[in-house]
Amino acid sequence: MPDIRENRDGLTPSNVTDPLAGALTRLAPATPGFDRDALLFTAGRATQAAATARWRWTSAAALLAAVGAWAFALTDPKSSPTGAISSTPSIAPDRQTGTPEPKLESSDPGPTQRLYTFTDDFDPSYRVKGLQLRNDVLAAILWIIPSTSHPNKETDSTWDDVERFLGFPAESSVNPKFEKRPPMPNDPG
Amino acid sequence: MRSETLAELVDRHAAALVLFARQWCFVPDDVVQTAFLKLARQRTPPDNPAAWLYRVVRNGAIDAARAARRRQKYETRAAELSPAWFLPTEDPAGLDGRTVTAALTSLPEEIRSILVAHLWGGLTFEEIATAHGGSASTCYRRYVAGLQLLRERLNVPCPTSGKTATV
Repeated sequence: MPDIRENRDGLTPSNVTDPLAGALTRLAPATPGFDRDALLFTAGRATQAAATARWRWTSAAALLAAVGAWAFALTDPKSSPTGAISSTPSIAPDRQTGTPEPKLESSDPGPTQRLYTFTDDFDPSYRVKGLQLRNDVLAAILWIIPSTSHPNKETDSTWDDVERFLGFPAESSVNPKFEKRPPMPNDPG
Repeated sequence: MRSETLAELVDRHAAALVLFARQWCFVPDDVVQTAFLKLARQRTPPDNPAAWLYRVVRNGAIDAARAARRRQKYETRAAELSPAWFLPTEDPAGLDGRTVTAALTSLPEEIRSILVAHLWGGLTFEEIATAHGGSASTCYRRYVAGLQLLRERLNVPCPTSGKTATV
């Protein structure tokens, strides 16, 4: 039987002062019809199930957030590794006016800039000279394409120019001479 | 909620809660068990678990009574099979449980539930007000009125006047 918490709210009277209330309190309510231990066992299972469900939802949310962050990191170009080669096309120089190639503007300059284009430090004249040399090699040496700039001449470059430009050692491009092998007994004629 | 706390609440309040639920419905055990399971599932336990339990039991018992009212046949049978509200007392000078039950059932429901919550549940009038709604002073006035009515029904003399109280 629970004890009466007397006078905690200033209204609750003591049952001792009223004999009827005291006599009524002495009557014990009938015991519950349910099994106490079974109820506590069921309550424990319910508590565990609720806790498991909470953890399950929390874990699912965390996993979803992690996957989202990972996917965002993969698709965000700003978070690509430092020094990675970008597929961003470089702006070609104005060939007619000869103005230097404009540099790509970045919205986030300074040390935080992590996107590099290797054309930034490249002298455009090297490209022009290289392309011209390639055309001369293909036109005059390999006879693949005709030279438009000098249609009557076969080439402006010599093997020495090619070797120098490519950084090869001298005489490395000379065709090796085939030595005629000695005749074999089974050779015809 | 810790299992020890819940076990303590069951030991302390289960019987009174069943008696409390009986004021409305004929399936008090089910209502009280459901209330304890609800309490166990609470993520954060209520500040006053006793008042919380009485409120949930009251709501559950009213719902159960409403559902039973739709099944009139079931209600009649359950009323016939209703167990005693109190354990038989061994005190010859004490009140008889059946007489008290009959007197209690004759009281209005609001007064009866306040009497049960205070006398056998041990709730203060603030806690009863939390469970029932309204103010603590209203609950107190109803309690005093209920005691007077019981005194009349049970023919118990008034302690101050020595006469049977009339309301």
